[in-house]
Amino acid sequence: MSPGTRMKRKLFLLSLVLVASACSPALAAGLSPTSTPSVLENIPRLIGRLHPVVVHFPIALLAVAVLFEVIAIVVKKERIRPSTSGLACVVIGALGACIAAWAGWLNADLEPHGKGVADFVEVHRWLGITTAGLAALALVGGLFGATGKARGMTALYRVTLVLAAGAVGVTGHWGGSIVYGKGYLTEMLFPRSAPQAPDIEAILAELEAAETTLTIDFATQIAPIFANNCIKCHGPDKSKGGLRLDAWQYVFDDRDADEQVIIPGDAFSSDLSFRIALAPDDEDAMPPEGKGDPLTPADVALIETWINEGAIWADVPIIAPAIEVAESDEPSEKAAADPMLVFDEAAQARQAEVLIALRDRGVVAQQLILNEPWAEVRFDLRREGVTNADFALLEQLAPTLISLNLAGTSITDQELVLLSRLGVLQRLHLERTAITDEGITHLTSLSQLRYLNLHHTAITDQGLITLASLPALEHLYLWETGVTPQAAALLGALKPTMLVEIGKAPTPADFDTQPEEHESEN
Amino acid sequence: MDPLWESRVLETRRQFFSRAATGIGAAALASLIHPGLASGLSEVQGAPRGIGPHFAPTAKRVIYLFQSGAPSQLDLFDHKPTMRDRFNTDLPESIRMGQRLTTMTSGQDRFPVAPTIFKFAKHGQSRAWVSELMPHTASIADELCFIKTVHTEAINHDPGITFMQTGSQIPGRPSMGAWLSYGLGSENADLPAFIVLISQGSSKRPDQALFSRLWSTGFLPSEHQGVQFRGEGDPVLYLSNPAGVNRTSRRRMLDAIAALNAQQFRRAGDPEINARVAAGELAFRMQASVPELTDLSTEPESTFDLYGQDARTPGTYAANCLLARRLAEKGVRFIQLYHRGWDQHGDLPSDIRLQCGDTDQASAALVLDLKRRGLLDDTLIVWGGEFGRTIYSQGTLTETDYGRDHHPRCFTVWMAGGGIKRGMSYGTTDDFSYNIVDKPVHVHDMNATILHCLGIDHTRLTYPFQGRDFRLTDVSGTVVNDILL
Repeated sequence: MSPGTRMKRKLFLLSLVLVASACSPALAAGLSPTSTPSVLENIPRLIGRLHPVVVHFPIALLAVAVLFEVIAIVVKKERIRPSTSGLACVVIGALGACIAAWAGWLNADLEPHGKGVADFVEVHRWLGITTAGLAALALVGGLFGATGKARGMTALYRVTLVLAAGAVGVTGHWGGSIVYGKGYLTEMLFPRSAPQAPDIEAILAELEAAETTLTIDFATQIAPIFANNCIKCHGPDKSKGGLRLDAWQYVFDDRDADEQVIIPGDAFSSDLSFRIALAPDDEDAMPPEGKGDPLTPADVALIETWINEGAIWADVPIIAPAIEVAESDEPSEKAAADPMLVFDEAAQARQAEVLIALRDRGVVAQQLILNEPWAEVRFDLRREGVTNADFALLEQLAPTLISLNLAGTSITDQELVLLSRLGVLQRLHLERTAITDEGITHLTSLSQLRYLNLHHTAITDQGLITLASLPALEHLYLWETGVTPQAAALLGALKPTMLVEIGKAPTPADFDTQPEEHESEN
Repeated sequence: MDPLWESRVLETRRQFFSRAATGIGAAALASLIHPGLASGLSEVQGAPRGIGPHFAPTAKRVIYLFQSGAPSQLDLFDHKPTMRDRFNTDLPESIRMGQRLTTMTSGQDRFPVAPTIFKFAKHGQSRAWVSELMPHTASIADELCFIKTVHTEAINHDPGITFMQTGSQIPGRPSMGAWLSYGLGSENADLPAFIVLISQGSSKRPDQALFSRLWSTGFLPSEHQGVQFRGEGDPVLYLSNPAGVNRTSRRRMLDAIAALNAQQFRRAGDPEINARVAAGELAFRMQASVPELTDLSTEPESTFDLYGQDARTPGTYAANCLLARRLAEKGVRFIQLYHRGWDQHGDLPSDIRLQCGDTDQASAALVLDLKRRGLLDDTLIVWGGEFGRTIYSQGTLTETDYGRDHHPRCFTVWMAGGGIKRGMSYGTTDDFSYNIVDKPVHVHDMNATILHCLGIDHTRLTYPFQGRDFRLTDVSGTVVNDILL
C-alpha cells in the first residue's frame, strides 16, 4: 500500500468519525427525559453531563492552533503546509468540539434548566454546532493541506480555523451566561452606576403620591402574614438562609444587592413572591413542605400587590391616621336641603363630572334612578380609607346625594362633621366603623335621614338620645353596639313608626320553645 | 369573499348606530377613535352600568332560594284541615276538571286524597300557617310574605324551572339574574353580578338534574352569564394560577391577549370578543376577591349557631346561605341558590323531613342575619320551587306514607325584605289546594313583581333579538301591588 493510499484511507476513516459524531446529536434528540430511569437509561444524561468537561478541549486547543499557525506564517514563512503542531491541536480540538456539541445537545434536552435561560440555551446550542462544524472543516482542510499538494486546502484550513477559534469563544461566553447569569462578564466591563444617596424630598413626594393609590396597608395586611407564616424560621430565633423578615433593615439593608428577596415594584422578579406562589411540593416552595401550611392565594395576591406597590414597610403597626378636618375648606355650594331641586343641564353635567371623579377613585357612584338627579355612593367596597379628596367630592354632590355607604371605612367622629352638610341624605351606612356617641351628634342636621345603620360601632344609650331627635328616621340598626335592649325598647315606644333593630337573634333554644303557637285546627 | 368583509358591507346604517348607542358599541367606537382607550375603559368607570332602574328601587339585590324538585305546599304552608276527613277518598272530578297529569300518575286507577300527616300551627303576630316541619321558618313568619297562589304552565321539572327563571318553557332565553345584570349592572367590579350556588338534598330520591343553561345569558351579551361557585375544591374552576405563575405574569398574559383581541375586534367587530376580554379581566380580579369571600374563618361562632353547624361544610345549603349573605354584603346583584331533592313522588313524609332539615334553619337564619345587619331592607329573598304537589297520593296511600305528583295549578312561594310586606299571607286556594280561589299569581306576575322591587318596569327591560324585543315576562305579567310596601 502506497503512503498516499494509506493517507487517503486515514482521511476517509477520520471523515467517517467526524460525520458520525456530527450526526449523533440528531439521533439523540429523539430521546426524552423519563420519570424513573434505570442506569442504562441514564447513560445519555451521563454523556450530557460530560459536556462541561469536554468543552475545554476545543476552547484551549483551537486557540493554541491559531497561535501555532500565526507563528508558522510569520516566523517560518510557511505558505504550503499547515504547521504540524497546529494540526495536532486541531485534530484533538475538532474531535473535542464534535463530542462537546453532541454531549451539549443531550444535556440541553435532558436536563431541566430555568425557563429564563431557555433563549440562551438555544443560542448556545446552535453556536456550538456551528463551532464543531467549522472545526471539522478546518481539520479536513488541514489534513489535505498537510499532503503539500493542495494549497487551497491549506488556505481553507487557516480561514476556518480562525473562524472556529472565534466561534468557540462566543459559544463559551453564552455557555457561561447560562451558568452564571446574563452579563456575568460584561458587568465587570460596564459597571452599573453606584446607588445614589437617597433623595429625601423625592421619597417623601413619592410616598405622598403613593398614599392615595396604595391599596395595601403593610401593618394590618402584610405584617400579620409574615408573623403567622414566616417569622418562625426567618426571624430573631432562626434565620434560615440568612434571611430575617422581622424588620426592614434585615430584609433590605443587611443583604447584598444580589441577595435581595424583595424588589420593590416588581413582584415578578422578587424571589419572595415567586417562592410563596410555588406548588407546596416544589423544592423551592416557601414555606417548605412540612414546615407550615402554604400561604392562601389571597395572601399571595396581597403580598404581590404590596411588592408591586413599592413594598412600603412600616416599623410599627399603623392605625390609619386620623385625617385632619380641613377647616378652611369652604363648601363650593351651599348644600340645599330643598326637595324642589333645580336639576338643569348644567347641574346634570356637574353631577356627572363628580360621579365620574368618584368612580375614578374606585367608588360606586351612580344615579339611583337612571336620568334622575338622586345619587348614591358606596365606599364600602373599596379597600382604602376615606380621604379629604373623597369628602370634597361628596360635598359637591350634596344637593342630590340621598344614599351613602361608609360601612367598614376609616371614617372618624371628626369627619362626621362633613356629613352634616349632606342635607338630602336619606340612607346612611356607618356600620363597622370607629364612630362613637360624640360623632353622631353631627348627624342631627340630617332632617331627611330615614335609614341609619350603626351595627358594630361603639354607640351607646347616650347616642340614642341624639338619634331620637332625627325627625324622619324610620330604620335604625344597632346590633352589636353598646345600646341596651331597654333603651332601644324605650326609643321604639317613643317613636312607634321607627324600626329599632338591636339584632337579638333567637338562639336555637328559642326556636325549639314555641309553646304559645299551637292552635292546630285539626 | 371574506365573510368578515361581507358582514361589514352588509351592515346597515341603523345596525351600526344601534350598536354604537349601547355600551359595547360605544366602547368599540372609542377604541376606533382612540386605540388603547378601550382596554382601560372598564377600569376607569368601575363596574359596568346597566340601563335602569326606571324608578326608585326598594331592593338592590335578590337572593333566590330555589327549592329544586318542587316542595309540597300541602305539607309545609298551605294548610287544608278538612282533608283529614277525606282520607283515602277519591279526588272529585269537579276539582280536577280534566287537569292533565304526568305520565307518572296518569295510569293510576284512582286518585285518593292524602291529607298531610304533619301538624300545622299559626305563628307570630301575622298568624301565618306553617307546619311543624319548618320550626325556624315559622319563628320568622312575621318577616315573610307567603304567596299561596303562585301557578305555572309547566308540569315537568325542566320546563318548570326554565319557565320560572327565564319566562319561557323552551330553553334559550336569558335567566332572571342575567336580565338583572344587564338591566342594573354590577356594583362590585371584583365579582360577577350573577352568582349561582348549588347544594344537594338529603332525601333519597334521585335528584332532578340542573343544567347550566338555567343561569344562561341567552341572547344577552355574554358577560351577564351567571357564574357558578362550586361547593368543593376551588369555588371557581381554573381560577387559581397554575404553580409557578404569579399574579404579575398572569397580568402580562392578559394584557397581551387583550391586545390581540382588540386587534381582532377592530377587524371583526364581534362584541363577544369584548365579552371574552371582560371575562378574563373579571377572573383576574376574582383571583383576589373569591378566596377572601369563601374564607369563613373570620365568621364568629355565633354565625354557625345561627345558620347551623352544616354551614361549616362547603357545598351545603347552610353554607350557601351564609355565602349568600357575604355576597349580598359585597353588592352582588343576583344570588341564585338551588337546593335539590324536593321531588317526593313517594316516601314523602320521610324525605321531606330530611329536606326541611337541610334548609329550614339556614333559610330563616339568612333572613335574620340580613335583618340585624340592616341588609334585609334592600335585599329581596325569594323561596320556592318550580310547581306544587298534588293532594292525591301517587302510589300506595297509608296512614303514615304517601307520595305526591307534580301540580302546576297552585303552590306556595315566600318572599321577604326588599320592599315586600312583612307578615302577610296572600291568595287563597280551594280546600284541596288544587285550584286557586282568590288572587292568582302567575309566574310572570311574580317575576314582574321581583323586577318592580328592583326599580325595573318589566315591560321596559327588553332586548332586541331575531327581529323583536324580548323581555323576562314575555307579553304578560302584572305587578302584584298588594304585597308591596
